[in-house]
Amino acid sequence: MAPARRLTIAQQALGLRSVFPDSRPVIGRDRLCWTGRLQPCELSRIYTVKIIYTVGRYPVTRILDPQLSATETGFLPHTYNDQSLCLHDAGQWAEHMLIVDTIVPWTAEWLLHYEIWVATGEWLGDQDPGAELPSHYDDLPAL
Amino acid sequence: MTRFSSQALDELLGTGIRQLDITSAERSLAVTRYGAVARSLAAHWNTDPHDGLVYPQGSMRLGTITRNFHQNDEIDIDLVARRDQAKESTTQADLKTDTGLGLEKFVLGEPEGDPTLDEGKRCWTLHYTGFHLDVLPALPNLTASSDSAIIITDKEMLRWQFSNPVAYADWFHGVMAKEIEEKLKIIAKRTSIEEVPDWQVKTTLQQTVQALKRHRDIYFTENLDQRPASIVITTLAAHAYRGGGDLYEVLDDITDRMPGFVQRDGQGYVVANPVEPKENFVDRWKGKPERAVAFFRWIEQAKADFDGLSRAGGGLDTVIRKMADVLGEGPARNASQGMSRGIVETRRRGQLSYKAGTGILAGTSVTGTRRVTRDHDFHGHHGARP
Repeated sequence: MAPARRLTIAQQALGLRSVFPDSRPVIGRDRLCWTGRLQPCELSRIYTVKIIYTVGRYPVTRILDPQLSATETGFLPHTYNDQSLCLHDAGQWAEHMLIVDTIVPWTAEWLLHYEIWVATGEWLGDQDPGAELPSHYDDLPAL
Repeated sequence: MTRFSSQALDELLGTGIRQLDITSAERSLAVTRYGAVARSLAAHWNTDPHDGLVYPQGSMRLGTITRNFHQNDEIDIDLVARRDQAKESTTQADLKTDTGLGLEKFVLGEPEGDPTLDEGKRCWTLHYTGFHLDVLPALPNLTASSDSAIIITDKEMLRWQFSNPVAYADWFHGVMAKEIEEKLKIIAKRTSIEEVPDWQVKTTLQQTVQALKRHRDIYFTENLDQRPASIVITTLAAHAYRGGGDLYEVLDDITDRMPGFVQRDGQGYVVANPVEPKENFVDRWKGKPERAVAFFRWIEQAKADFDGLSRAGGGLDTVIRKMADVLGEGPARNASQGMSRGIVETRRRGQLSYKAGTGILAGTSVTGTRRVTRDHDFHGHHGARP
């Protein structure tokens, strides 16, 4: 079987437009910037989300609004130092996957677990919440 | 803020309320334990242990058990111990003492679970880890037309009182028969088990009663003796119940209509026992107007608090925090875990989807939803992005 082919920026943009017709992805030669609104469940807030995808890198997801509430010490679970969301493990996303079928719902799911974390102080999204974090986290390879 | 009901709220509330209930493991343990009590009392009274000697009454029989908020979530299980004897051949005090003697023998025999025995005003209490059995001594009511009618002693050990917890439970189950039948069918279909026991079904009426009892326990924390009795809440809720539906809607409707079923006669308030109309469940309000006032104030507050859940509007976290205020931390935690796990498990099965245009996550792919094509893990905290 031939290896899955990388999707083009245009294909990614088309995918996002088809599911979020009100949103406007901004397209560059090898870069896509999508801003959209996500509400993970009917009881949740509506969040403005920005996904930036540069060919050759993992998509970067940030929440623009409302501001996420970190703990007093600045801790937010499953985020990187730059406040972008940690949505997947190394190798779980690849360029042949549609962002709209992966990164977008993973972000919605992140937001759901985040709101529950705000209420309970526990991240119940996966794993044993008290479990040691995998050491491979800090060295996700570039694509 | 607009008020709305939603599947998410029903789910959250349902999983929250489930934490108040007895688990099936606890149920089978309790049944085993009171089976042993029945055998021991049968030996003591020299009768047949299978002849309806010891049986559950109250919330255990109604399916409305609500963990005790003020006693580490302990479960109270109410039992009737019916001695086969005519009332002419004993007295209230003798029946009570003799039942106590039988239970003392039971405890001294070092039974499983290592219970201790305590005397209450009308009943005896066997304490086990996590739950206790309240054993109410009773005699058959031989003059009544119903086989399940019993007589029990009053608190002063002076008069026989008429009671029929079995008939009451039958009435309660009759009120919600349609919903039980519908839910049994759904379970049977899903599990392909032919005979699903009734207790595996929880109706919106039972869930509402559990929510109200817990709300009452929290509301009356500072003056527990002012609490309206569970039987009053259960009876009024059953009258106000108009059949199944979405949990939140039913809870809201029942809470709204309940006070309207408190009646008045020339002397005061009446909540009649539906199977024994001469019995007034709010007899203890007589001459104590503050008790009636407390009841009406409480139900108004419950209504406002449950309304508040759907008006929260500030995200899932706000709803969960409000649920903790209204029902306690246990239900709030259970609801949170249920929701998170539900999403994760659906995703692991490859069945997660979301609504186009909004991102609302769903368990099944229906029109207008987009399937999530890949599984993933949220790994890591606070590292540098690669």
